[in-house]
Amino acid sequence: MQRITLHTTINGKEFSFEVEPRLLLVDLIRDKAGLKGTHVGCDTGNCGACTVVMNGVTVKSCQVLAPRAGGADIRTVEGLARDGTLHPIQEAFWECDGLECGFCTPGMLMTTAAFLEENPHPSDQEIRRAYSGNLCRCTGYLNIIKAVKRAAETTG
Amino acid sequence: MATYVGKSIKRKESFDSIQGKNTYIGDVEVPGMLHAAIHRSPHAHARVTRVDLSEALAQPGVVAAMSGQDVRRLSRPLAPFPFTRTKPYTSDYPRVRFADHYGLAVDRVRHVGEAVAVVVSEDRYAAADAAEAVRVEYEPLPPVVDVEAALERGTVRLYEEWPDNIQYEFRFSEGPVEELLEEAPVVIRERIVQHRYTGTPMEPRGVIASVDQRDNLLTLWSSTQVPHALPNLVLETLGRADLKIRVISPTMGGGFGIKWAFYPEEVLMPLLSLQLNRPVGWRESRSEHMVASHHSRAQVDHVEAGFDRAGRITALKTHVIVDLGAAYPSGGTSLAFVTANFIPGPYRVDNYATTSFGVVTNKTAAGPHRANGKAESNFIMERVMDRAALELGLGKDEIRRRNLIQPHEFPYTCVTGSTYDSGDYPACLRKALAEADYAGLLADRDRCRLEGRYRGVGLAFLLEPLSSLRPNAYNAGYETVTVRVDPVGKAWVFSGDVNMSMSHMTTLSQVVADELGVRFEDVQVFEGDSALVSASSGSYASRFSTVTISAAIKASRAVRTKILAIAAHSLRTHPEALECTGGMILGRDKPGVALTVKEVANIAYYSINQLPGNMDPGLHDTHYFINPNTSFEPDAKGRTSNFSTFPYAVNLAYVEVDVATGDTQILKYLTVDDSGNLLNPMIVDTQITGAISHGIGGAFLEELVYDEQGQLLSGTFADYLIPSMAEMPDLEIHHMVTPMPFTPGGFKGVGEIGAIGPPVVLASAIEDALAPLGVKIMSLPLKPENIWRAIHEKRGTGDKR
Repeated sequence: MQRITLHTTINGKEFSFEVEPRLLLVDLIRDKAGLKGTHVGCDTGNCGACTVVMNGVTVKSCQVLAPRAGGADIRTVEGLARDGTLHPIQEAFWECDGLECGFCTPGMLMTTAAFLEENPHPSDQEIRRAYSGNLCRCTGYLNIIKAVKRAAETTG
Repeated sequence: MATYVGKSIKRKESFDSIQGKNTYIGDVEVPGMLHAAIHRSPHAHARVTRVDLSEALAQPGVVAAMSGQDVRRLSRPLAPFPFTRTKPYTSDYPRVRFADHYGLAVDRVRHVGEAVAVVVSEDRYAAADAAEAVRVEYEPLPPVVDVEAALERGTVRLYEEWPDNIQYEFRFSEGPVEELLEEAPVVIRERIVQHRYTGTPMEPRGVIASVDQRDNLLTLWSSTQVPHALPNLVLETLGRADLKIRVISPTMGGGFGIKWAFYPEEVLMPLLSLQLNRPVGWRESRSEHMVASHHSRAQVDHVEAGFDRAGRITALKTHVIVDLGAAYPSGGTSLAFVTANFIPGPYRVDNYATTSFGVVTNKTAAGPHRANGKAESNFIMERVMDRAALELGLGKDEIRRRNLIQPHEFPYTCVTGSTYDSGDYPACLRKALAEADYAGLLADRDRCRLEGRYRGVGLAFLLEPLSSLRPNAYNAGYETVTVRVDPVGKAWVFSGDVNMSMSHMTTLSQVVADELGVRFEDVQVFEGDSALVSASSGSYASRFSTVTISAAIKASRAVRTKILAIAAHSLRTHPEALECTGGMILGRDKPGVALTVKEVANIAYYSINQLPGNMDPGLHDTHYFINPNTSFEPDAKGRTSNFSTFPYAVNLAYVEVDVATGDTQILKYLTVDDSGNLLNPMIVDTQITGAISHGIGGAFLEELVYDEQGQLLSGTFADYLIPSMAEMPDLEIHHMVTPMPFTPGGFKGVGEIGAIGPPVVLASAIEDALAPLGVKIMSLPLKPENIWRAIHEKRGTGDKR
């Protein structure tokens, strides 16, 4: 199969990859860049476990072909903590018990990162709408709402 | 003294999760691993006349492919599960039949999504391509889709060697039920339909097998809730007595019972790995998961309940028909057993008769899902109580009050033989009514009715039997924990459980730290590996805090006794004069640290000349804790006591129904739970909230819909809807605490009761809201279209859009 070369920045680090054009971005991140924190939960773009931030906006990386990430700036869960210090969003999720199995968590965290940049002081209603594309099967969400608000307080 | 137990300590597990550092099954990398992909049946029921692998084998990167014929040649039928043998029962009932299913379908497929062929490639994408290139010829057979039709005489049989489609049959009768029903002034007779839905953990399944030829050691990584059962099951199915099998269940992205089964891929990967002498892995996609991982809940129930004029139940008769799908070893038969045993629930029922069938159909196999059989049994009984209340002109609270088992009656042997451990049901009901301002809600409902708005109050008393004892089963019902203090004074805990989201590392650390008298940070927990302890029933049914925690307490106490004995010997005093806390050994009546646990450990392992006479070196203990409050011995009526503990809750919901659309809005959702002592209140409340969201999904959104041909119509997350944040209401969670009297920590279990409530209490609330229209709710789900249809059928508008 034909292969293409693409250059992309992930969490501030530059990468170049030789890939099949049909490769999904999530597999590029997981298998080629070796960043396993981004997860695949559904393959249809419904669950949001694969959410990453690409050029400042959230994308579901199972719905994006890798070549579209050529020249892009991508942020994944591995890029949140800096120099061993947790990001306030991570602290807030931990503190508020906003996770259990942790499978959806990286997607939730990346959605939060982009969402709070756009809306630093969201209401409950705004949070409920903004996260309807990120599914969690463990927590029942109420602690995630608390965590997002806590993160808004600590980052705002 | 509890330093940690009972406190809302932040979860240890979260630290890795929030950084994306967990290793789930999809993240396990085994050097040289090949990728398998599975070709699945598009038919619900068909003969397989030909499987042509040649095109698949010709694809680039493909190294092997197998059909059902190959698998039959190389292995035996999938071993029975959870039973350790094909004749698990010595009595006439329950009665169970097994079917010979191999890792791949051989000459007949019995559900859409059944595995028919497997291909193996160097590359995961190429494997998926090759699976599509498998050519299979089918001769379609008439599918058996409807569970009641499956019971009709002369209908198509799924398994020709069986006389009918009944896989499991349980019968029980106590007291003159028929006579009492005939005499009863009020009899409620209903047919109840509960729909098919499932747990859909966010992480689908995955399996990797790798063979070490030097040691004949097969290592199997699987996202399984039963890592200790699998070695037996795989060995028996492979028919390879020469192999040793180690099963590792990595960090799990949710299980909810769906990973409690013996799945075909758990034999296919070992077979392929043995054939190819390379590691082989398979990762389930979501669309595979929806047809290849088990379903749950579907049943049709017939119930007759007699009441006297005072509203007390005089007799109860039920016929439970569980839709099991195909007879794979998924543990689905327990659905029929648990449902039928616990329909009487929290009420005094002295006369009860039940016939419970587990019936095979051409659908994905059914198995446990969070509140297995319990969501179903509670739905049946609570619907009956609401209907009886209406019939007798009693309040929903009053009819329950008149039938609840009273606090002085515990331990209470229920009509089917299990012993309810403890509780104060009337107090729980009182508390729920008071916290919710029940009278105020009724008044508001009545006010709204005058304005033409349809608001209703739902009330449900929920009972959750858990931690069961089963002879001749892999889930025999005990749990194994090893506690070890190492030579530098740190505690190591090895549990037979699986880390599937329930915060075991944190809660085990809390308990062991308190029991040993060491720091929480100094406890390290390991689980999810069959090499850690010799046997385990696995993670399911909220049993962790009943049996695993108890085993950990007992093992810790044995180790602490030894620590104090060594310290006392060294200090020339009596162990009773010493206590241990925070890793330090203190004199009870003298201030100051006498010794540290680290110093004692040094004696235990190295300065063994300082050990008391006859004491062996080392600080460790393994405890097997069997389900308490149970018995194998039949009582005078021939009943056995199978379940250990019975947490309970009262749920109350206040809703408004939009009669134009059938949509329901939850205005208030309140629960009062009694799960015994609370190990970590924060974790308990997260468990309850998560479980309630499962229940809300089951009530309003989730439905595995099959058409008449047995095709699954809701096979992705685009049409099988699970609740998102937008659908989750705020909750009011309250607690009552009646400590479990038969476990050392007084804990019961909390993982499932939340999932029982919503379908039960929301049906009650919607029926109440629509009472002016006379709408009766006897079926699930409570989707807007179903409620709309119920309203319009009652109005007789003839509008059947």
